[in-house]
Amino acid sequence: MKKIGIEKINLYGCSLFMPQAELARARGKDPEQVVNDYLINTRSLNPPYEDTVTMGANAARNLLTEEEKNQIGLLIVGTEGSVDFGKPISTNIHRALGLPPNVRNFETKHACYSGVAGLDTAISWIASGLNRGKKALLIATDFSRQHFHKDHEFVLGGVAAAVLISEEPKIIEYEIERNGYWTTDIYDTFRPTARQEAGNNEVSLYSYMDALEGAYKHYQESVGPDLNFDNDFAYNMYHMPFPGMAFQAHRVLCNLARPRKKSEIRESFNQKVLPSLRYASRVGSTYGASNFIGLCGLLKSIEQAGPEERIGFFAYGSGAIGEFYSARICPGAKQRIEDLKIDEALDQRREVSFEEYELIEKIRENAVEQPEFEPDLTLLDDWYARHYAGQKYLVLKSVRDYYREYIWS
Amino acid sequence: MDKEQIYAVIKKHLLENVEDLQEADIDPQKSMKDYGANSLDIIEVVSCAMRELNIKIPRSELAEIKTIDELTNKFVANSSVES
Repeated sequence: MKKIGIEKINLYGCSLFMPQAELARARGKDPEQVVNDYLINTRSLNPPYEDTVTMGANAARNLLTEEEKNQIGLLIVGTEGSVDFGKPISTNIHRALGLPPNVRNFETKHACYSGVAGLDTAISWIASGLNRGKKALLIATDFSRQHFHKDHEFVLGGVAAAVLISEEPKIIEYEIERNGYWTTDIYDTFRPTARQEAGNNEVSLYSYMDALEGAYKHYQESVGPDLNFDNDFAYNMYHMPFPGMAFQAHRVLCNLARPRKKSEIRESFNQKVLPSLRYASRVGSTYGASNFIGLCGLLKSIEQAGPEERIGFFAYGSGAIGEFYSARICPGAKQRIEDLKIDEALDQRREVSFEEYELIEKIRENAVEQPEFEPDLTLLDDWYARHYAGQKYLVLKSVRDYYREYIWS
Repeated sequence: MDKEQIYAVIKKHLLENVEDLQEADIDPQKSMKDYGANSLDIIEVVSCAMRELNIKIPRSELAEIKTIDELTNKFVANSSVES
């Protein structure tokens, strides 16, 4: 069986952020409780000249050398925030990144499962040998919509991840024969229009746990009776609609293996799961990029990654599906993540005030589905001139008669 | 298993998962939220109780339940089907 895994990875956490405590205060909630419940310290925010296309491209912009671009044979972009119902944003990103023409590309949708749906497709393509030596570029890019005054206003945000999947894994190697998935038809959270994000958070939490248990049991079938939850995984990573969810998810699997006290679960959580929350707590909801953001956070946070240590992953998409899969950490992976300087990139984001947050979200919402739109680059004290200009970030220049033009800043 | 026994199991897990709650304070006509349980605590109470009672109901069917008594009844109905 071929070795298949992540050769390169990076993430893009937008260029603005809003402190969660500020938002809680402005909405008359207890800031400490809001931060502690959701474990989000700050949430990402996009200026009006960014969208899921620019985020995806900006995650990938420094990922590939010119030579590597010619090795790409498949580009999959997972999102639930596309800017078009027909034309996939993989085509916009393909052009922006300057990839060669012989690249199969498309968009995947399954709420927050879009990224891992794409990952599975890329892995299967490589495993089959039909890739003829080529590599796959997988991008997961998502951003929330405007939800002033709603309960879920505290679990919004956005982030994109770009991942190079190949037969030369250098970050993690997937255990492609170990895999479990579980699905059910349910309306938990969904996006019935280009502006709405509807649903019931409680139904979603319940359905997440059903999917977690179902997918883990299916994974267990693929491994056999020797699987030992406590001993076999050095780390566990869970889909994070908000990072606080990860504790509950770990609690479910711990108790499934062997019922135990909350304090013992807390200890296991701190050791095996908490390191993966590092970046999610800075960007907010991680949507389809969740497992990749968790992976970057984990490798950055742990003191030392033992080679071959196994990570158990759980991906979830509303609608709903869950998938449990696993991978081994490659030698040198931690250093490669260190070299990305993700913390430093997030530190460069500009903090916005509550008033600026409301202003930007209103502008963004009003621009949705508009045939004509030209984003104001002078917003937020000339943030474009100070952060973007000359730095080669992809931005939306204009929308003319629905045609979207993107340029590198 | 009768309703009294099922209620006792739910109550036990509620007390384990919600701080500063006394058994005498629990009114089955109220919601767990009235006692300070957040959504994640409620999921844990439900998960632990179902495991102990050997009841299997998709958790998503429980999301609309409002009170502890309604949850008990749902478990009772399912328990009798199982046995």
